[in-house]
Amino acid sequence: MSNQTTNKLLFNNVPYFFGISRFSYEHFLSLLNSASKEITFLGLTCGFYLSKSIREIIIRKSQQIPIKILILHPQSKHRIARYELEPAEAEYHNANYFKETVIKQYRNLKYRCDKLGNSQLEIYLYDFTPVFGLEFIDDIIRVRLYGYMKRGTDSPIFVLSRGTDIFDYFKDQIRSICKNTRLMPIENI
Amino acid sequence: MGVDKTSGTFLLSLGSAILAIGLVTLVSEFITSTKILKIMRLYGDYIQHGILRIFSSRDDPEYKEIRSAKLKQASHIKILTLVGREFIESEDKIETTKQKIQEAVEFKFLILKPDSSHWEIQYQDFEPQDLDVIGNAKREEIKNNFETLKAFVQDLKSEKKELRYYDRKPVFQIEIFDQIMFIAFYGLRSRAKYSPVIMFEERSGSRVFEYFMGQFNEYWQRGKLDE
Repeated sequence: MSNQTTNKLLFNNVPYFFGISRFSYEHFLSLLNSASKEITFLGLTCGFYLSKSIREIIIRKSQQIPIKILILHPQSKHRIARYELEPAEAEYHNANYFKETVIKQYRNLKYRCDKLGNSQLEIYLYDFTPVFGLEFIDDIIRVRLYGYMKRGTDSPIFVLSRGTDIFDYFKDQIRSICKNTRLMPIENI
Repeated sequence: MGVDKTSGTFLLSLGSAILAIGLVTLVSEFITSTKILKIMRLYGDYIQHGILRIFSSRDDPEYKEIRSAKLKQASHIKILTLVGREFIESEDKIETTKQKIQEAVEFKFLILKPDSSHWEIQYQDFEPQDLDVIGNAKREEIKNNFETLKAFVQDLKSEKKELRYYDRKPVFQIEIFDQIMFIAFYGLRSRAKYSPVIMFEERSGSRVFEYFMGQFNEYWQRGKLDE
């Protein structure tokens, strides 16, 4: 089906969730559980995906499909710039604390998946200012914005469906990030 | 044994009432069924959020037409953008903008400070090389043109009309023309003109509209300090 037709069918509209809610979480979990092609997460800290239930799904899925997780490098100058924008109470403001907590847990996660033998999990650190975070799961992209003085969790989460121009834009964005930017494998830090 | 007219009417009313109660129960059961509720919750305040259209890019002719018409009609104008070429790029455009400012009730216009470090980051790290814009001469020109317009607005002495710079990472372009808002994104290695544009209409209780309006206000307030 062409994008034009899908756009029309969807009345050029997109649903969204606002901030952290049970429904958004349930929606995310249901997408993750049913993922059959690919999973990519792009975020500032990606701390959200470290909860026990999500970690277990990632471990299971890493044996079946490619998973990429992109996290802002703890020492990046863009990280400092980003935290200028974020409210003071934003978590992981301190780079060392962030490294000792989130990065360490992600390294453990990678280790656990790799130990199983067929892991397709790749975790990278990037070095540019993110203006949005996203979850790309098969045919859906959930986008949240890193607005001024706002945490990503304060943003609406737009739910974009494949077959629309706006989905293609964000899909191209994430593909371009994976292909054209310098990404450091988390093992190298 | 026959049924008299009164009894018949009573039985008919009773039957209709039972049928109505049954129907109401059935409809209510359907509406409140888990599935329907789940869908309604999943899509949040879908109906309320006020997204009218999503255009594929700022080059979309339909977008250009609708945006131009909305701008023409608008009396309350708020713009957060990178350069604002359309308004300040040439003398002709400055004159048109001056006229629009005079006609408007409210005119708030923010561009990225040309000597901001974010200018370099935006154009060198994130966008294709665009010498027209990143050249220092052009930067100076943008600044001069913006200052010309600023001086004009200051002379109007209207509290509701002002131009400011911001010195922060551009995240999105926001244009508000009365109750209509257009949002485009500053993505990675992609100028806002290649971004899809979301067109919103202000609706009571639309948190997403409020979010972007809040973003404009944050940049606006901060812009005062970034001067």
